[in-house]
Amino acid sequence: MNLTLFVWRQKGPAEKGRLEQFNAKDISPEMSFLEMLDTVNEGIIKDGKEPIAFDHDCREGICGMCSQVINGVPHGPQEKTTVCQLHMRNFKDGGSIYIEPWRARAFPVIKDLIVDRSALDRIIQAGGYISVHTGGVPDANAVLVSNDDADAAMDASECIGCGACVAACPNGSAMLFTASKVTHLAMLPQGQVEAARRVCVMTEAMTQEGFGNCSNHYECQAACPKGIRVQFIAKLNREFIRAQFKGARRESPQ
Amino acid sequence: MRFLENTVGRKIVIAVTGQLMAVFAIFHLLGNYFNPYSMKFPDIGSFIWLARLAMLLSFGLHTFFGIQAELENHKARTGPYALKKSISTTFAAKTMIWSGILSGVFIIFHLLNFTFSVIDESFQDNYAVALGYTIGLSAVCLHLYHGIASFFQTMGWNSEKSLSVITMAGKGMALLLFAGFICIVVLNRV
Repeated sequence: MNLTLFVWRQKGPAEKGRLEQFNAKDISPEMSFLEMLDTVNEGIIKDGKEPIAFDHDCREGICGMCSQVINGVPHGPQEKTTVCQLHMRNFKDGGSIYIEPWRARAFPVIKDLIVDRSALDRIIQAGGYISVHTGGVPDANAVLVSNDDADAAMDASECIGCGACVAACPNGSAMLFTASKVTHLAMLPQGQVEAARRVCVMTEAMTQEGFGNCSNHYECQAACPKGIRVQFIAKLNREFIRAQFKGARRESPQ
Repeated sequence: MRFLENTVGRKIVIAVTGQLMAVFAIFHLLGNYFNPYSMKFPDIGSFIWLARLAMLLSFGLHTFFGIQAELENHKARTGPYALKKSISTTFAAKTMIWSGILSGVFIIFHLLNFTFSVIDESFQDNYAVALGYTIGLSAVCLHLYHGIASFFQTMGWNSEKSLSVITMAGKGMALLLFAGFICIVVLNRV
């Protein structure tokens, strides 16, 4: 396959970026998207130029590092797929591909296609944890969890924190990410102690990091490589309302 | 006041005030077809003033928090994508700020026209006013096309299965309201 790439190049966070054109020649349809970029980069390096910088790690669709908006869709055209699991057979030979970084104020570009997603870590740090007893290992079924609740918590915990929801959101909101973390812990008995406080401080942290407000576009759900559903945002909203009646404890629990 | 500083808290205020106005619009339409003033309500006078107060408050809060959210959302985005595809959002959802502003202007015009009689021209005998009503009603119903169903998501009043049904029903209700109101303009005009 031969393709024309339009790739976002940006030297640093303060630099102005622009799209640069590359020709990707002799690309196998069985290559992953990242392998295609590796091939293009080898050519760029041979020409003595600066290769395209992009994030990647596990290359098996579970780490959440790859972060590219491909032809206007985060993680590209295939549903529920990360960039590393996207294969070139999904593209037309001779076609052109636009590759851009996640664009959000809370995700400053570090270089080219690499953005700083530590804002998501700080949302987790604000309240994405539970308190447990230290000491001996508890008995396996000492705390009972219904199968439905366990399934819902498991579904919510599938979020890999890649930030595609933010990249897709017309408001640059991280509500799907935050909702998946809140729901994951709110579904389980172990998460109840901090539940009221958690939903308040995590949504506040989201705003402080410069993410926008959710206005129910549902673009996040469509872009999510793990199929996290907007029903979790409804769950977050219910948790928030419940927290108002419970009088969320504000102080840090330490 | 932490509630009103929180993004979800403010979203709930926007949703509740918006839905109150949407419910009013439904009764307003029913009132146009089945005149309630001719029915014998025990004390409609004080009820109307209560409703007017609720509407005024809703209008103010909805406008304030809606514009605030839009400004923040605008700031949260950096530069447009060279290429961006929308997958599931709608034209109505993307234009809420504009349909909202247009609706606000239309509602003020409508009040000056009918309630306060400051503007004397009526859509019955002025084509320009009739056109204004058509544009205004379109904006209101476009706003409701996203708004009515959105309320249920914001309140968390849905489930895995009901989300799509509620979304369809909300859109249907907005279209029904548009049909109902536009008939009044068209039938009185012809």
